[in-house]
Amino acid sequence: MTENLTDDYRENFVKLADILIPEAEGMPSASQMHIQNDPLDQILKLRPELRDDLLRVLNLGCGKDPNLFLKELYESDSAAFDSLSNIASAAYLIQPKVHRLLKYSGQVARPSHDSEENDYFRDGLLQPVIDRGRRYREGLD
Amino acid sequence: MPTFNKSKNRAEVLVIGAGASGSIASRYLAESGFKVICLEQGDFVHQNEYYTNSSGWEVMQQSRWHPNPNIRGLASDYPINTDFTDVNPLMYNAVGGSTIIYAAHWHRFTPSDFCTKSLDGVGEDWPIKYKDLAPFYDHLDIDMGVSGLAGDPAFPPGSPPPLPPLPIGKVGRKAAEGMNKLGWHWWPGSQAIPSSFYRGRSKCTRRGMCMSGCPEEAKATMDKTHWPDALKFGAQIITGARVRKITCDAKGLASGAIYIDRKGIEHHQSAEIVLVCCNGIGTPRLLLNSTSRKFPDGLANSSGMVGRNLMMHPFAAVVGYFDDNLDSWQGPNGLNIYSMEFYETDQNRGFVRGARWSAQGTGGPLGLRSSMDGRPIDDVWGKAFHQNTRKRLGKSIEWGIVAEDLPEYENKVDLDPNLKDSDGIPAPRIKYRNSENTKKLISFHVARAKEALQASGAYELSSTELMTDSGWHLLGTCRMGNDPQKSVVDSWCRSHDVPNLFIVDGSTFVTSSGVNPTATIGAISLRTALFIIENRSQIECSM
Repeated sequence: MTENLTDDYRENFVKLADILIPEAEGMPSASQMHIQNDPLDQILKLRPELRDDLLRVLNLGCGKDPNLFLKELYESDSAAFDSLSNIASAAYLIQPKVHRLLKYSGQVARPSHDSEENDYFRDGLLQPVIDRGRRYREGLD
Repeated sequence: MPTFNKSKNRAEVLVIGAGASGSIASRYLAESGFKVICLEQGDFVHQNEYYTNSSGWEVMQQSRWHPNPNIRGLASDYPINTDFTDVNPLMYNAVGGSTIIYAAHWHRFTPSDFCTKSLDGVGEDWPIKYKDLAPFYDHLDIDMGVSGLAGDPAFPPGSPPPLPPLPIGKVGRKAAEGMNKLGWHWWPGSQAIPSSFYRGRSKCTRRGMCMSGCPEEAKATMDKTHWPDALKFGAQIITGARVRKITCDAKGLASGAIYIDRKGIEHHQSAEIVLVCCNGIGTPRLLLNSTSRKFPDGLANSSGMVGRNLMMHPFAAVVGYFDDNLDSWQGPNGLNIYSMEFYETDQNRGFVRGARWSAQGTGGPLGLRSSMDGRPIDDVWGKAFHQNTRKRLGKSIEWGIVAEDLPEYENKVDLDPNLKDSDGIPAPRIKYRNSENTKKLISFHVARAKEALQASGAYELSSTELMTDSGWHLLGTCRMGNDPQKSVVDSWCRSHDVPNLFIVDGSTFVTSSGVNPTATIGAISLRTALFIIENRSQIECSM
């Protein structure tokens, strides 16, 4: 599916991605996470329908100033901008190294522990609600 | 050119749609010895289709597992014209229906929900009351393995849920602390998700992936809770079967349905009784497509009410940002605690009826990023990309607001004159606008939810007064009632016009309430199934 994404396309993609996701706030940039390589292929394998829009964007932007081109794209072709930015952010945010930097454990299984169950009774958190009593309205029985 | 196969395998009860209501009806009718055949346009979802890997999960929530069928575009989906609606309808077409991707919030209506006309002068009263459904709510709590805490003062006393509630987590505690400061109601979540091993289903492990299918086989979905028994009792299900039309005999009785299989071949399934269970969009679509000389305006539509009064529970959200780590990507999805503080009418607010709130985590990083779409480029990208991610991920709480929208005649489902599905069947068109009452209601609730999050210690807030992709609850388009001129079905969900045609999904709702409707859809379906079982000999059938 991605064999036509040449090195030039990948280079152009990551130039644009670096503007969307620069090195800042203690986080690496898109290119520092090499999102133009395996991560890009991974996203396009999951969402092949985005590929045509991506190629269109990369062709349109070829030879243009990346900053100006992105702003122009945002104004004139939001669908293409969304495809590009969705691919870039997904290729960046799926990476385990990024998860570690964000202290994000991922959607892992975390079965509850006994100490978590009914803890609102132990410390009285729920008691004021119980004490205030009934609050539903009767119907017409 | 499609061929036409006339089935000799006549059903006593033909169930169209294997979502929540169709599954429950099929199971109990089959257990009572009825020959049940169910037609479902989707398929069984196999466990290996769910993503357990966080990365793939978030990416695929935006396509394969998107709740909007127009975006998802699977073979089992049909297109919907949404050019004229404030809210997009959401659903999933498969065995289990939208329970496959629901968050399994399991709430009963309150007594006042059944009589808004008498109490508040709006909507219409239901022909049934809370006490009529109470035993069926109790029964389904057991079927579904509901986890919850008995004694909520916002609901009438009743049988306790079979399982204790899931832990409310850091998100629930933080939200509850704010509510206590304000003296406002809250209660631990009530979900059809087992807090311990239950009837072959796993205990919830809180992956937080409920709304793209539960990879743990914990969440109660009808393919797991009802279809195994339904099949054991002899029910048959035909998947990949898209129903084009319900057929009638010369007397005007339902005689079966024409469906198209995945190869494009038409079949006729004959039946003595027909149950339509296709949700608040699919059901009026099918009835309006089922025209005949006797029923030129669509089946069961002498009142002109088929497709009218669409309600979708417009959804608003307020997010608070906190300094503390709250693990706010942890499940269960969508409900740690809930509040009914502003559920009932207070005329001093300038509107009637109310909303239930649900405090919930805000999910993974990609979903959080997508929620920023549409904002100015410099607010989302560049340095802001990292700032937003750090600010929101794991450290934010959302109060989701399920607003009770009232029945409005002009909010409707009809047939699009041009759009067709992949089988050439006319597709539905939605016309839906929020009323002034709904707008005032949402503004009030958003303002209160902001106060709640500030009381919890949020240092910053953001809010959305209307989420476009939020039409999970498709209600009201074939309402029940005692007056055949103002309603489509009677209090037993039987068509006023066609005595062997029943409708048992959310389309029969007279008003929408402000809570998630699956428990009520299920209770109505079970009640109707028992009515058919007990009154079989009195139901006139096509011969």
